Amino acid sequence: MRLKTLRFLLLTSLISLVSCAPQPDLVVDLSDNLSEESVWPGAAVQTADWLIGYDPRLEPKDDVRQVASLGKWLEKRTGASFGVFIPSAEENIVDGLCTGKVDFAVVGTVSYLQANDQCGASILVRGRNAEGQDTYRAAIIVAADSPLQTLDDLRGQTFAFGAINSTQGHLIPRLMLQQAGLDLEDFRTYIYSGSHTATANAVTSHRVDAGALQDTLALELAQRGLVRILALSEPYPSSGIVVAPDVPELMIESVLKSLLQLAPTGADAPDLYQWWRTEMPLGFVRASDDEYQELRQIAETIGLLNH
Amino acid sequence: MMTWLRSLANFLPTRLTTRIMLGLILIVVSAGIVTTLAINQILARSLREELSNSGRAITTSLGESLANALVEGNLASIQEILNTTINSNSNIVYVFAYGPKTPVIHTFPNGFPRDLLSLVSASPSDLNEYLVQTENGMVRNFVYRPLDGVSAEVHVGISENRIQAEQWRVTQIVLGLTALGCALAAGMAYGFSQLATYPLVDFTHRVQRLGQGHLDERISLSSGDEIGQLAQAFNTMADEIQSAIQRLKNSEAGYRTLLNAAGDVGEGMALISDEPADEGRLLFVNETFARLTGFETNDLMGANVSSLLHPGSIELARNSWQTIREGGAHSTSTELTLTDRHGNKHVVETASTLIQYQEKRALVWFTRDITDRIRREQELRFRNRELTALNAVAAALNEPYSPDFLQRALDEILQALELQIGWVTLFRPDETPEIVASEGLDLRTSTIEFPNCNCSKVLTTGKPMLVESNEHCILKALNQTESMPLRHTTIPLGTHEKLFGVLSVAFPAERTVDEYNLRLLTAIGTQMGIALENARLWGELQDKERLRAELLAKAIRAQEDERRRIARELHDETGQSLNAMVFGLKAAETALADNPAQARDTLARLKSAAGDTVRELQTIIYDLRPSLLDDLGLMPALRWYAETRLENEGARIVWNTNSAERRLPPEVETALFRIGQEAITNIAKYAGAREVHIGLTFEGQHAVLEITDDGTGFNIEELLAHPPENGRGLGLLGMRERAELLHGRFEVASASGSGTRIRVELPIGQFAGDTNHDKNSRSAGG
Repeated sequence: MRLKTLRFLLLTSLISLVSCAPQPDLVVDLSDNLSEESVWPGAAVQTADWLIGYDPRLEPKDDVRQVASLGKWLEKRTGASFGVFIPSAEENIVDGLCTGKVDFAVVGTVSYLQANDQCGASILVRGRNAEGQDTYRAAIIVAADSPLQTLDDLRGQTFAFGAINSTQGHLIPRLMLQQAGLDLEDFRTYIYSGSHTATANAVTSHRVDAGALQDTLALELAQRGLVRILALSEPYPSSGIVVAPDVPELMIESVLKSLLQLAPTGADAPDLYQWWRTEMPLGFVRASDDEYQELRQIAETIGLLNH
Repeated sequence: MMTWLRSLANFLPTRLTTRIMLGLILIVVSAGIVTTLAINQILARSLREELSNSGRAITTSLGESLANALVEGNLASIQEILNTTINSNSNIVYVFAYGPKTPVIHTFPNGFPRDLLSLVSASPSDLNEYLVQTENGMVRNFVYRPLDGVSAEVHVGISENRIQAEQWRVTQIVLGLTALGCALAAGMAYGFSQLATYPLVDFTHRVQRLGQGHLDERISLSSGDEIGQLAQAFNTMADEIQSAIQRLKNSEAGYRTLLNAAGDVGEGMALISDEPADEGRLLFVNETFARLTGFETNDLMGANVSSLLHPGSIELARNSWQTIREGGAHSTSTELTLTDRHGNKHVVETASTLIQYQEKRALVWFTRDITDRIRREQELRFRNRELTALNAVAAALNEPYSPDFLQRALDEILQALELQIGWVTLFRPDETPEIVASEGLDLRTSTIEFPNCNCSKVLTTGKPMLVESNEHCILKALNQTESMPLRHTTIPLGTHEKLFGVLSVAFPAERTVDEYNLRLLTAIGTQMGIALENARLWGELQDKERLRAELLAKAIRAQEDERRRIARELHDETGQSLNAMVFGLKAAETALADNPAQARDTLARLKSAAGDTVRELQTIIYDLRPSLLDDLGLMPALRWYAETRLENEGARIVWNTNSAERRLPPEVETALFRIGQEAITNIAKYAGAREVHIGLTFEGQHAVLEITDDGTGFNIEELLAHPPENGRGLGLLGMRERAELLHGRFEVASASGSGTRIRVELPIGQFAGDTNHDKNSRSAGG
């Protein structure tokens, strides 16, 4: 104890001699603790005028960051303030749109169809992919060394879909399987992996024999020799941005006008977070509901629109 | 600056080696401290920078790991990651995070510290750090917001204790090195200084030997450095000291000889210790000094000098020696009084000087007995003063009388006898005493009580006397105030014929009044008496001179009056009569031809007028000098004059003469006639006498004229002192003058109401020849 005191005194005197010791910003008593109730600082600061929701697609943080960056970009353009609505198991994006909690949402086709079905949310724009197309496709993949050669070979095999509400990971593959005469009962088992990445991992690690994947990721993985593509779908209208039914027309117009002007590879690139990983890397085109008829039917068929 | 350094040197060790070691250790320690400080600073800065960098990295990394869980509100996952993080790094004190769907999740076992809430949502940027002071030391709180636009933060608290631990470790190392450096420096300093000071040590040893008296100690050191030069200087110094000591020895031998020689010529000499332990003790005395004190030299050795000094001289001696101690090389000559073995006092003239004797401070005290010289000088001084007093009194004798002469004489007497009190009493004409000069008396309170005082006997004996008792004396009042009893000596002032007063001087009772004093006082008294007599005679002479001058003036005036009277009478009477005759003669001349009868009448009238004129002229001439004196002699002239003047006044004249009428020399006859004329005139004018006796007798070779009346008389003294305007006093003086001119005597006796007698006695014999001769010469001239 005495040695410690001596040491402290010596150091303090040495330090004070040259008087370079930094001053503390805060003095904290670590033993003065709050009682057991939790502190919720994060929930209290949601003060934005408009909330933008999304379909979970990549890792949650990346989804949030991309949507948040879009919100900030919109703030600059419209002058209104935008916050992020994080969907959860308890409250998904369709619920948010239809309860009025969410005003705008970056969603895939399934979510749009469900929200449109449930409460009449309408689609504003549709994304343009890396090739400049405003459509996307889905792919059925197997491991690179898989003996499976056709869709028909999938009978009796294990299969992985992405998220259940995923357009490319579930809706379009179901359409492809239907057209190939396959039903869910034809698989030995099937799972919903929750995301494209998980599906790719499951396939490459042989946990499942095949999986449904978005076309861009599938092509990339195939090119690197990690997977092999059994089938590619027809192009279908890609993901887009929908607006909740109670948003005022003027606001819709303002946001729509801005979105159509977004230049993710151009002047707006610095404002956006890893925008190339989204399904709208080259910006937006105007979308209309009638382009989703075919997909609406299959969705209805496979029960996605059932309440 | 130098003073500062000198005082600093007092605190330093004396040995050179120790000083050098101390200096080097100081340098090393200083360098160590500076190095420690510098390294500490550099280390602290770099460690903080490193801490900051690693903290930011850890926090960013943790934030990325937590981002998904935060978004999803996956509490368990978050808690797991936080726990893993804090366990993976012992420097991390705490971690906490929150997201939009989570509360604050933390690693504090006892709940979240209240104070830390102020860091939540406080950072202006996405990655930041704060310095937080806790009871466990300084903590650097890093904050990272992994989700831009969403309320979520990750905080990591990393202790700075490691920095201080590192600083301390480095400090220990540097201090250890410093200590090692000190030891090395001390060792090297010791070695070097031994090397450097070895010659000095040897040198010191030799200097000490020199100091102990080994004067032949020398150093053989041929090196040309400072020590070599010092050695050379030492050798030179040793040579000088040896030579100086030899000179000193020679000088000391001479000095001893000198002391003995001093004794041979009568100089007493004593050595007195000046060391505090035995101050004043006699260390050595020579024979002359011992003789002076009446002791043997051996008796005096070790005695204290104060036992020889007269008590009144001890302080003086002490002061004198103190002056020497305080820097005077030797004292100026001081006169002190010694008491010898028999109690006799000796006045000695002393001089002292301070020396080293047997390695001790001592005073050399030279003494010379000057008792006899002092006594002779004192006597001489007394004689001088007495002579001065006598001289002053004598000088006063030669001066015209002045009132302060007695005071001056008294002052001189008192000064000569070294006395303070004295007085001179003179008697007024009415015999009352008056103090005319005094010293040391307050005349307002002092009164004379002659003749009650004992000293008044001097008036009868005329001899000086010493009065022991002051009863009835002027000193009575003084004795009551003076602490010391007094007696006094009284000396008569005057000549054997007349006593003018007394001179008194007061002596302290214990003082011996010897024969010499009395003789001196008597001599002075006689001198003063003569002076007083002279003054009196001088006064009389002055009076006479004054009266003589007045008489002369009166005579001249009388002569002028007489001339005027004659001229007037000649003019008024004789002149008129002659003019009338001239006119009458002219008329007679004219009438002679025409009327001879008228001419005859006129001539007859003129003849009668001429006869009148002749008679007028005779009267005038007679008044000037009665022809009776020339024709008949003194007695008939006097008789004529007296009868003319006195019988008109009704006085009877009685004549008295003892011899036949005889002629006397004309001067005597004229003098006697004029004196008689004056006396008769006075009687006629003032006396109112009924009978006047006039006698002219011859007694041997003297003629005596005596005139006595029974008139009113007068006070002679008063008349002579204040002669009235009518010239009566002058008349008396004139008579005396005439008598004295002819070597005669004039006496006058009178008193108011008892008449007046004058007596003139003139010698006649000696003038007989002169008279003849005078007559012859006159006839020869005529």
